[in-house]
Amino acid sequence: MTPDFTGTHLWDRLCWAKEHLEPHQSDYRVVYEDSIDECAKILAPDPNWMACALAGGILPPVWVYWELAKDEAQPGFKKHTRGYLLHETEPVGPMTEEEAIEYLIQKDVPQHVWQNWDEGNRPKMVICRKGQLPQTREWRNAWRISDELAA
Amino acid sequence: MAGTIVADTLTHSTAGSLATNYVVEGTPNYRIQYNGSTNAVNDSLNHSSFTDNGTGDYTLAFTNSYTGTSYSCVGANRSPGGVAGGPDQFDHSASSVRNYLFNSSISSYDGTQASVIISGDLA
Repeated sequence: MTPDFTGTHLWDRLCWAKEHLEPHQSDYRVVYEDSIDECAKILAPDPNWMACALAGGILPPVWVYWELAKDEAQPGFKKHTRGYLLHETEPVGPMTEEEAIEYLIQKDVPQHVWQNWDEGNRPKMVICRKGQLPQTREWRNAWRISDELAA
Repeated sequence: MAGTIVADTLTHSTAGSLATNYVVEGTPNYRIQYNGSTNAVNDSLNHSSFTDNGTGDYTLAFTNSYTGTSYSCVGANRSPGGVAGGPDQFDHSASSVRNYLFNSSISSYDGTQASVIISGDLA
């Protein structure tokens, strides 16, 4: 069971998790297209991070990352001054694997992709199983989300 | 707290003293070893996700962001046929870094055993 980490530095929580939690290999992948000039990108969750998400009490709420991203997007940004949000905000509770993937999308996929993934002529993002991806990496730089999968 | 030593300085009987902030700040606080061909993460710390951007091109995201982009990062590529690999110092943020792998022809390449280590000030 996760100790009460309220107010504990996030780094210390991650070190605890590394020592005490079994990594969880997720079968989910997130395929997205963030530019018409580039091939589809594939996001895979980290097994140790996924263990933290499933255990609960370790990761900060995802809005903390949005706040830091806002700060970093400011012209002339040099250094974070609100890092305390990562450490002092009450950690989120246990997530299901599906909830963890949603969290990760909102943390690590560009906002312009996930905020309007279903607008336009075709979806820009798809959550799939690893087995649904091509089995070889042939023509990797030409991969796109197939209309069949997007449907 | 059990198991915790609180000290600002370590002193050796003859070799002198060392401020413990050098130990804390000098310890790498991100690491990953991964297979760029299968997108499998073999081991990691402070890593949240791995994005395969294309052949030999990967974005590595941090769980505990850094204060800025002045952290130091090194990459290695021990894959068969691979000769180089490294984080892009021009394409990184406080929350992620992009890592590229190349083969002996200096073409982008899906290495099977790549690693990155970062040391810097955490946010």
